[in-house]
Amino acid sequence: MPQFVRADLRLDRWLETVGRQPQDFPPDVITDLKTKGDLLSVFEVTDAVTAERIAVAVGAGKGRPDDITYAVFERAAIEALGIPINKNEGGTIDAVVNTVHHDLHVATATKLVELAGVIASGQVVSILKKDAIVLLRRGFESGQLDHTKRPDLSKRVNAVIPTHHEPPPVVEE
Amino acid sequence: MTRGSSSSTARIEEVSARRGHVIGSAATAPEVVPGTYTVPLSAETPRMRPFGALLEFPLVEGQGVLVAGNILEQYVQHPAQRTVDLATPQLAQPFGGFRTILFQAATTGNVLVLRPAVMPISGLPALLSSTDPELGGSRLIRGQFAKAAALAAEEWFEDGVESRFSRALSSLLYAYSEGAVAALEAFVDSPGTNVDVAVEAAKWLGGVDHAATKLYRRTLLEKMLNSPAPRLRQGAAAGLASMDAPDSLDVLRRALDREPNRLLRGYLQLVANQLERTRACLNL
Repeated sequence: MPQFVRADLRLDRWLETVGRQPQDFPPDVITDLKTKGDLLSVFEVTDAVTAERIAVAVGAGKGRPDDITYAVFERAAIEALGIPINKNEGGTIDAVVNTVHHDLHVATATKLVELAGVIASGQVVSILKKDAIVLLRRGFESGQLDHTKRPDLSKRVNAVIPTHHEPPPVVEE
Repeated sequence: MTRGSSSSTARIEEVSARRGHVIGSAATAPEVVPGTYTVPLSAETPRMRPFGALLEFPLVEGQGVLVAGNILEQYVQHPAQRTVDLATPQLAQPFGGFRTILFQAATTGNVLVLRPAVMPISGLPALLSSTDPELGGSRLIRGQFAKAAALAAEEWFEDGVESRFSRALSSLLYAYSEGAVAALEAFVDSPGTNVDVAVEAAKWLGGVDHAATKLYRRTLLEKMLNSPAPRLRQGAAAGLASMDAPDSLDVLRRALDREPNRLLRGYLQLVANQLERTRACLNL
């Protein structure tokens, strides 16, 4: 079943959604969903792109490593709300993650509250800063994250970037 | 710090307890008199900090030349002892029980933050009760803190983005040391405190690099795990995760056992797992 990821959440703001109806959520939950131009950025989980990879790619857009919190929820639940979904290129430093980016067009505040309800009822996951540093380092070193776009962060997590790729050894028969 | 070659830290207050004035403030403060001073440095002495971070604090004009003794730039683990000529001593924190002196180092452009002998944190009678003036919980520092907190209420906090509020807290910490933590404690305990700001403060408490207040900050974070506000409990746990001190493990486990919030319970479990791994590494 197709799933979306909304990353860039701040966990503490979502704690008091537990056991509440969306209309009773604290307002900070809604403001944590930073819409711009009435659009909310999400990514779709695929066989090639895990939710964790998406969250790390979004986390790599920040100034420094920190806790990374994201929510995984059903695409069908968004469709059931009648929220238009537009696939377009994402803006992270992970080129593959960018291919699974979507914008949700949230037309009204009521829809945003309903969307918050879907997100809160999904799986909210946190990666602690210490683990985030390891994941970011791996991302830069493997090339999944483009270190040239975030050299400061790459250095901060002590990523060792290969300066060149050795050609595979020639094996003589 | 003493004049001449003696090295009693108690003399700091004697030397400093002279009249002075604060630029831009009506408060009075001690003044450093002209002379040559020897600075006794110890594990308690904070390392040198960039001057710019402290500029927002009221400085007191001073005179004279300070000749420092042993400068411990990176706490005691890196005892880079050397003599530095310091010029134009500037005094800060002009509140009761003079706590901090700033000296601009002519040779490095840095400021050395010195404090009089500070009681070990375990001996502080008012630990977790910020009203004790020995902690520097004066009106001035509380006023500075309140100003920072008021500005912070207008700020949007994001994980992974250093906030102006946390930078202000760091400046307060390097100027006032325990006094800044005490002011933060009073802020968090106050009814009506903006919880978003308090959470940011809790996260900062765990992440800031300041050895002299580490125990106080950790103890305060452990106390905050008992807060009635789940958001603040989460901020405290995030702070403890940043500190990565296995000594907090027992307190954290107890918090985990009584935590009613499902989401927060999961987070506390993550932090407990991390501290357990850290403890295992340390015990290797």
